[in-house]
Amino acid sequence: MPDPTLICIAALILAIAAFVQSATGFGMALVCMAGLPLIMQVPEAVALVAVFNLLVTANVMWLNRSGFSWPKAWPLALAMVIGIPLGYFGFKSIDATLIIRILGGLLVTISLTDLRLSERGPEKALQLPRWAAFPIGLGGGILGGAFNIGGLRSWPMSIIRIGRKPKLSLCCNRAFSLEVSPEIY
Amino acid sequence: MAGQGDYSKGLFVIVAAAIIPAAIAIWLGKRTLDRLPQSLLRKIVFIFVLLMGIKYLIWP
Repeated sequence: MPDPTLICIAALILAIAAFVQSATGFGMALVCMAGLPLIMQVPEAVALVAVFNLLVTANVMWLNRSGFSWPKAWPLALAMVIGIPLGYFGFKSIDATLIIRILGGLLVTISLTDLRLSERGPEKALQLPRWAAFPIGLGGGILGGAFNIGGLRSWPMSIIRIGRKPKLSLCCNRAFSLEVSPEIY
Repeated sequence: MAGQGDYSKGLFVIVAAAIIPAAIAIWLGKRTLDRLPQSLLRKIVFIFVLLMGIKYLIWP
């Protein structure tokens, strides 16, 4: 049985992470893995986040179910389900550090581009065709399976509005945190 | 990825203890999402993504 103080601190960190996940659609693992290793071993923290993430994302999806649309979301979901085992079994031999650095560069580029575009108004925000959901989902699934980088799995739907409503994108984003691979940062 | 040995009884005690605080936090997060203007929310998300990208670039 863990120390009660440890339980309280861990529960507080998890609650803060759940708030971030609920408000923004991602970031739970980021917050958890910044705080939990301060009070427990990293493998324990990873396992804790893996279990807790499923509960949180299921809850968040239920709260936002009115904004969720399977017809628009299933290509992304299907692609992710395909991508996760590909990433898990296929990318073990690749230097993870290099890939993560490349992804970091991509994230910086995309976020700066979209921040700039968003200043022009929502009608000029970056928008990709609906077919882009499949390669984006596949890429996210591969990355999630290979490196457990949940945040990177979430960003495409946050950044790219495939539907008309920004809120729908966020809901899709949350929904896909429910995929098989836990969101581990 | 966590292995089977990393799932202990203590871990599930922590999960159980965190369920109610997290449920409240999720509800608060949902309220925040509903009340924030979408343009502001987008900026917050992209700043968050930017910070994550910088983190991955420098400390992968």
